[in-house]
Amino acid sequence: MLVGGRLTDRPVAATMWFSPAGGLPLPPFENPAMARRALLTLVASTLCLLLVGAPSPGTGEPPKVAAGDSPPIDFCREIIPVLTKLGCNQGACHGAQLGKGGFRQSLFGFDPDNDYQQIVLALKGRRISYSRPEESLILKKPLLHVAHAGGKRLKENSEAYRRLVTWIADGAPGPKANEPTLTAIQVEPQAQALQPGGSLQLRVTAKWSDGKTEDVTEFAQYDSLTEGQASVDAAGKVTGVGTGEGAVMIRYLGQAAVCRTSAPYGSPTTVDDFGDHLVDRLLAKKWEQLGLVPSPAASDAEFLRRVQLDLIGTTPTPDEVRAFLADANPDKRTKLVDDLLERPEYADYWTLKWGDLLRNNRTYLEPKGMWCLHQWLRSSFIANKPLDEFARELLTAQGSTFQEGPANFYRVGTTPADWGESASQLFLGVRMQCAKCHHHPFEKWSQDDYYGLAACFARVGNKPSQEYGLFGRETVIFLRPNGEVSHPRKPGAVKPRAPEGPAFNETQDRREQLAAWLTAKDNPYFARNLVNRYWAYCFGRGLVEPIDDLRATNPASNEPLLQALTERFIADGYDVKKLLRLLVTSRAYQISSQAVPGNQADVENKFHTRYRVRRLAAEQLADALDAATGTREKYQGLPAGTRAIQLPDASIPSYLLTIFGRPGRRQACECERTATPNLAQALHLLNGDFLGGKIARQGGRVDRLFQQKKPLPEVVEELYLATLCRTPSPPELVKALSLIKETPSPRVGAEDLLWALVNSPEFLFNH
Amino acid sequence: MIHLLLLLAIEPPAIKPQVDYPHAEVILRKNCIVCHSEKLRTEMELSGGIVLDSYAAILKPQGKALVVPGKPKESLLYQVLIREDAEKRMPKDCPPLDASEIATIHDWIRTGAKEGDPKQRFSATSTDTKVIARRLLKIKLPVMDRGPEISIQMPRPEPVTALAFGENGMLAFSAGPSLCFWNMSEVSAMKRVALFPASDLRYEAGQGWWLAGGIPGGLGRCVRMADFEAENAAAFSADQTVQQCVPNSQTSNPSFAVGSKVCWGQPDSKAGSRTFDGHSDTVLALVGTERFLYSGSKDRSIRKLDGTTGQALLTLSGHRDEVHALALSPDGKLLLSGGLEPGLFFWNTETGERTRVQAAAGSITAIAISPDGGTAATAGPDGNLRLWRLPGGNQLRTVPLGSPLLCLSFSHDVKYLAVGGHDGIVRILEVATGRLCVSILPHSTEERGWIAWTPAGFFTREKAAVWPLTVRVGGEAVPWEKAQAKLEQPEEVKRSLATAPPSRRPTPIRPGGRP
Repeated sequence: MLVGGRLTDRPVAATMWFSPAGGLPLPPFENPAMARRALLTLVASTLCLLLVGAPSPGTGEPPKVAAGDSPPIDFCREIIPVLTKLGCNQGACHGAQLGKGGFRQSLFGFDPDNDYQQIVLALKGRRISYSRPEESLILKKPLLHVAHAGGKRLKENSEAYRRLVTWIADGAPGPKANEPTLTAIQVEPQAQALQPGGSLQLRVTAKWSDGKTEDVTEFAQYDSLTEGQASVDAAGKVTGVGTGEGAVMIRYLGQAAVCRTSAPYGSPTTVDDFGDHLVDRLLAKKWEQLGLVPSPAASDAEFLRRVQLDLIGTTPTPDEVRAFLADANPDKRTKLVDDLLERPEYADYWTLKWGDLLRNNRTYLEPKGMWCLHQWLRSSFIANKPLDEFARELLTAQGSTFQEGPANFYRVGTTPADWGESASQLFLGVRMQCAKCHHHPFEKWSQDDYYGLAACFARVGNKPSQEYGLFGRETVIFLRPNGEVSHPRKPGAVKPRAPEGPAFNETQDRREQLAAWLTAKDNPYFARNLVNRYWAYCFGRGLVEPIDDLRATNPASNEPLLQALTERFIADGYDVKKLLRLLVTSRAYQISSQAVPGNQADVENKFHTRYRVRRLAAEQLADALDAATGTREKYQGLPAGTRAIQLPDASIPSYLLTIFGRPGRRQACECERTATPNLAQALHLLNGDFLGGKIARQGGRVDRLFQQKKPLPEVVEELYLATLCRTPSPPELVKALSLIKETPSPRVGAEDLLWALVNSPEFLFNH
Repeated sequence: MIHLLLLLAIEPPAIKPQVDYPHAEVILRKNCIVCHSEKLRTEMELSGGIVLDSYAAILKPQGKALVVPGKPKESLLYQVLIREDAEKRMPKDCPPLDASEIATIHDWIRTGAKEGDPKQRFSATSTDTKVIARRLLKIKLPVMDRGPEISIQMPRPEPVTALAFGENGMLAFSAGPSLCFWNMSEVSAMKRVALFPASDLRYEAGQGWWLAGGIPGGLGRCVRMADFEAENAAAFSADQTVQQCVPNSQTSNPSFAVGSKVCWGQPDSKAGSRTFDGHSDTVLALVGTERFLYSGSKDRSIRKLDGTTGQALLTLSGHRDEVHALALSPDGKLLLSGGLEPGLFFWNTETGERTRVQAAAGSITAIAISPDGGTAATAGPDGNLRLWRLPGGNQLRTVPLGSPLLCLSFSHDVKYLAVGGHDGIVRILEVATGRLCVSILPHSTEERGWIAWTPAGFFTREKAAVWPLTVRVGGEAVPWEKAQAKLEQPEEVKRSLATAPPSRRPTPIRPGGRP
């Protein structure tokens, strides 16, 4: 007897089988993986002979023919993916912490023991019927044969149903000890051109620790990360939606992978003559693939203001602008960069950045500890300490928090878990927090990784010291001879190890071993994370975005570039100044922020075809206002003349800084600094007496210009240089002069002009 | 024109098929009862007080008649589906139902809104759900080491979900849909009654056997008094699955656990005459007397209830997970409890105080205390039977039985303990020694019959039964006649039950000849 079915979508011929026992009907399958699986299992359970006339797609191997009794269905390997695919254990349903409707599953099935207990043992086994598997509550609910708030999830004729029923009929065997684990999933294709309207079928292969590989296309989960570019259905069929680069996330049993699609924005372009610079070459290559063209070069004035803000957080003075514009040296931009990297503001500005990341804050550290960490940061940047050394000093710090700056790292958090989380987010760019309570939903990180990392810090102790007096509240960080971390679901102490890395030995400081792993040249995260951060500080958007969320399922917008920069950074010995110099001397950094028709289609400016416009950070803005008005804000408790970028912590009161998004330094996340506009910002600058007072202040810029009795056109030019860092264009000059003439006195007019200039977007934004 | 007339003339009269409730029910379940269910009747914002999850509820006027049989246009249930105004149309905030689904509802009402055959439920749309070939399993009958290996090829047996000893050596157990009565002194089945898979089975002298329905797929939404002489003497029906029941020695009104409620029943009444609804989740265990009842629930608490008023007297809290089993000592002073979380909990019923926890007990599905109050037995999903000395609580012994266990019962003379589990085998053990005396595989269907055997390998079976039985010794098949002559010895099986030490081993059987 011959029954035939055709596998579509692949260069596959016909499939036939002969059944001596009388044959079973084979429904047509849309999904080739499902058809293969169904054939094999039917064959296995009915002792048929199978002849398959076509190779299995992708690998070229013919499917294996099994005979005899098929092995029992494996709970971890075969049932959990089904439950996950059906959505049973998602966060909104039974995967919630307390479950739903009295039925509790672990989120995406990370805890098979719990899931088995809940399905099979809980409610005295009422959810399962061994002798009448199809009558099991666990099936009748998702089939909607009885009321189910989650609706119909399961179809009677599906492979999922067949698998569940067979599992129950086999006696619902539970998770076994020493079960093979899933080591990786592989998706084919990993990257493919996909025009809007086109489609492609993904194929997912699971690799197990016992060497088995398995096609899991049917039960993998698919999510589009970029709905505007590509959509994906539950069977793994990707459909092109729009232009640009798309990404589809594939998840299976705690492992994740990504398939990338791309559709050019326009016809392929050639970006000629964009230069040999590493950054330019690789960006241009991407632009050519995507049919984009870069915006034209920025003017000298634009570049000067931009690079000063990005490297030292400070706007140039009118004299600096004049000198730079007048300089005829063709290498003046490179020379400027070299000069900026040696200025004292460089250390101030990057101390501020890293102070945010390390949460340098007197509420955690006491004023003395805060100053100590601040000074350590400052001296590190003055000395241009390589970042691997920087990280090592921080992680392995010991001693008094009032004397050893980096030791304060261990006072910001209080538990090994805190320190593990911070270290991971800072230096790996990995957000581990999810894995504290359950397997990371989009990543491979498990609770084992989380607690293994925390165990590296298990022996850090602290004790009070009286060196600074009984109430000095000094803390000494030291290493204890013992101390372990326990796993919430497993007995015994957790062995210290790096995420995904080998377990550390017990004889040495665990932190030393962690730091050595972290700063090893082949560490896949450390340099990559730092390069991505510094890229984002210069270009306004990380190659991976958000910048501290590096993971396989968050692909970089230009992977070759990130790779090349990472390699260069490692080769340069983790030298930050060299990295910054490399980035800002690229031509790509020096292009205009204005879109041109050839790159407008990339609305998000994901591919850096133009400079990304950003509002000045709170501290940059405060200093720029000071510079523009020629006054100095006085910050409480600090000497006069202290600038906002020199502030050591976030608790120094300043309304301006607060409303413009100064972070409270409570999280190790870049996201704590906000750039969102709000009404208070506008009102504070438009009609607060704060700005009015600064503009009109005696000894301020306007006052001084009038003291010096400068002619009006010069006053206008000076105000333009002090705010927008450029000279006014002739029409602007005419307009400004006529504005001043309309006012009661030239001085009031000049003040009005300054007020208008600092409220202009050109001043408020880095462009 | 002529053509058209001809066409009209030759067209056969349209056959309008009868549409019954099962067809409509599928649509209502899929689209409506997420909000309109009995459970949500009182939540007016969701259900509006309209309930659509049973035939009876739909036909009962709920404010206004939902269904006027024969008249879809006058039936609210149909009207709300076809309203133009999306705000007033059902399902709320969803696209309208498919035309075919609306037509089905329409036709169901038009053809009289009949209930149809409840057994046909879901067959209306559920396609071939029985595609799974039931595998034949090779079931090895557990016997002693180095003894003969006896195995049967058969479908997976029904689990033994409830059992209880009666008087005069009578044992009753529920395996799948049948209730089996056994004579222990004769070691033979006396009667098999087709009922439903029972979740509980109790015996009360003078009141008969009480059963509670509740196994998934079972139709047992009632408590039945099933007497050996006159089965189905009385039944109480309830809207939900009955989990447990407790007989009343004074009257024939049992108490029973239904969903999260405890009810005190009256024969032939629709529901209990009194209810206690203080538990927030399913009540899974219920024990007690006329004066005091103890209910254990999935909500992790145990309640002590006044048997006459139904008032809650005490809450016994301390379980961190579902409570699955309770047992009360004969003097009523000690309560044992167990559940999903490992541990056997001891409670003082007077004070509600937890006096002891035996962590060694593992998870527990069933607990029994011997009628003399001296021994307790617990059974768990790990397949271990554990015996405990009372009132102290020291563990006497652990008997590994291999299969997840579900129920246990002491005989009235405290000589035997019967245990049932997922493998469908009822095992009779001697309490004093923990020795396994006899195992019984009661097949649930008539044509297969039963078999009982001793650890030594002697067996007895229903004479009429046809058994694909194979016997092997040392890995080699033994010819059936040879094995039968040596091993099928009912007297040896009886002796194993009656005498304390194992009687004798079978004389060696030599493999050879053709199997």
